[in-house]
Amino acid sequence: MAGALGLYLALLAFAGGMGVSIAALGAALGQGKVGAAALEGIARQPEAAGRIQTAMIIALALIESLAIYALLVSLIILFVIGLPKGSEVIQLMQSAPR
Amino acid sequence: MTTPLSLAAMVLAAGVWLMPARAQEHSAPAAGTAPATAPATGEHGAADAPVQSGGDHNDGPKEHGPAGQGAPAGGLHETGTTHEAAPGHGAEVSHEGAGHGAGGHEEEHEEVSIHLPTWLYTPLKNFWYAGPSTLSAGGAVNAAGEPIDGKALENKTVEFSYLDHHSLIKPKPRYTIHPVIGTIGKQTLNPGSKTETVTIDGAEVTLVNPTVTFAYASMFPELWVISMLTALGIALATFLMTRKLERIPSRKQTLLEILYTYFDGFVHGLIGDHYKRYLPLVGTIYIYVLMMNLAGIIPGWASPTANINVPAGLAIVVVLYVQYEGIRVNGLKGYLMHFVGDPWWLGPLNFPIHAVGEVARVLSLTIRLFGNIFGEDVVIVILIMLAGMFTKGWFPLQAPMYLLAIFTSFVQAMVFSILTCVYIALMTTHEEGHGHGHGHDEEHGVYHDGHAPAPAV
Repeated sequence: MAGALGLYLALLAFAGGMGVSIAALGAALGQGKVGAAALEGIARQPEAAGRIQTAMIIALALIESLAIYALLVSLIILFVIGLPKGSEVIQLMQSAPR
Repeated sequence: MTTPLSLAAMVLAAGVWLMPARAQEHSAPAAGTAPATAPATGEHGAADAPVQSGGDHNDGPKEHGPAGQGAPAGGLHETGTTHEAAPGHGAEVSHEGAGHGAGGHEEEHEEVSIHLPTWLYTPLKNFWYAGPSTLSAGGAVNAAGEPIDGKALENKTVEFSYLDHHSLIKPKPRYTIHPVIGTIGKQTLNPGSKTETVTIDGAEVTLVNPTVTFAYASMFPELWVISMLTALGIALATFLMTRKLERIPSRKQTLLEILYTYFDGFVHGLIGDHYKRYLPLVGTIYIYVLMMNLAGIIPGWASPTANINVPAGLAIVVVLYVQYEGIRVNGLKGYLMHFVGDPWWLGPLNFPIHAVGEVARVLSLTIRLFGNIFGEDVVIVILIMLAGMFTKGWFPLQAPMYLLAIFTSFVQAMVFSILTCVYIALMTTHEEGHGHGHGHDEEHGVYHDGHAPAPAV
């Protein structure tokens, strides 16, 4: 019983951490491509720099919002599920039969 | 340029930016957000933090390092130990997040910020404490230690000695209040839960994890106050700056004209020739969101946008307005055909996809703005806590994050308003019919409109 509860907490913590990490990885790859394309465009045509920069910022924000969704899920896992229930679970574990 | 006044302003700004983490502890997060589900939730209104018996306010300092710390993590600490009482978990998330929300305003916070003098706060508190209040608890046990059913105790008025543990007066004062008992849960006495003993109907009842909510204090939640103040501030500032408009502009007027021309340019580029109608909405959204995001940087305040309700409200307004404009410009049939898409016989497939896409826009706008601003707040709070743990609170570890927060505020405000323009453009361009494939990437839709891209201003 204590073992299973410990596993529950451990998995919660792991999920909370890994969620954002993987999402950040994907977002970073995507944003890198966007940045590279924007820089190439500016290098080709410096007078279009303003428009390209605007479009780049929009694209960056859209990609980043996906990582933010993952962050939100992570926060929910950690603070809404993990934190309130966590110490109750720990108390249960401490009083549970071994 | 470096007049004494601007120099003083710069020094003050630098001082605020580099404020030691220790000083932030007083304005630790307790700030406004998530709808309080139960009166017991320590969300923002004043003093509804859990009542501590005796003086064990700082129990559990182990996680916060040296004893001098108290709470940057005052909010963090509280949430750590009050979750037993508060059924509203959503509030805990917001506790972390609102960063340095707190006592800036006299209407709401029980967290006295170091900037508010006690002479202002104390009479206010006396006013709050004299008003109606609710005492809720996680559980109730009688003198023998057996749990009592909470229903029997509800709506009784008791006399309670409330310890104001957020006060800066030493020793922390106790006030005698007469709260009405609210919901009482089913918790039993666990080691480590806080208890208070009250006398109800002559019998001694021990309440487990009690919390007090003051009606007057929760009438002005911080969220509401700050967003109203922001709106009023913007209105006032613009009003004052447009009093004497002249053809040859003064410096103030030039600033306003630069802002206006900037908005005019980019909205024109995104929407097209019928853009004038939408300019006020987009400009307002940009400035309002920007100011609300920046409000979190002022010590003692929190960004209203760090609460999910504010971006949600804005996103709902934007999407509903876009639907309304779609119907107004294209007619009801045209609006529905927009959903049906290009080959009409793929309609049954396209219609649900587009409809869900519209709903998804609400979600994505909300979560993008909320997640960015709230995430920044969380990072700042955690850095303050770290600074407290390792440097006894003197090193401003959170300072670089403030710069990122300022940058993020601008970028997110801009993205919100640009997406508003783009949604409007998608819905109201009727010159080309549905020739341009509306892919689900807005960029595509914008540049196929047949309008010149944003003019280089």
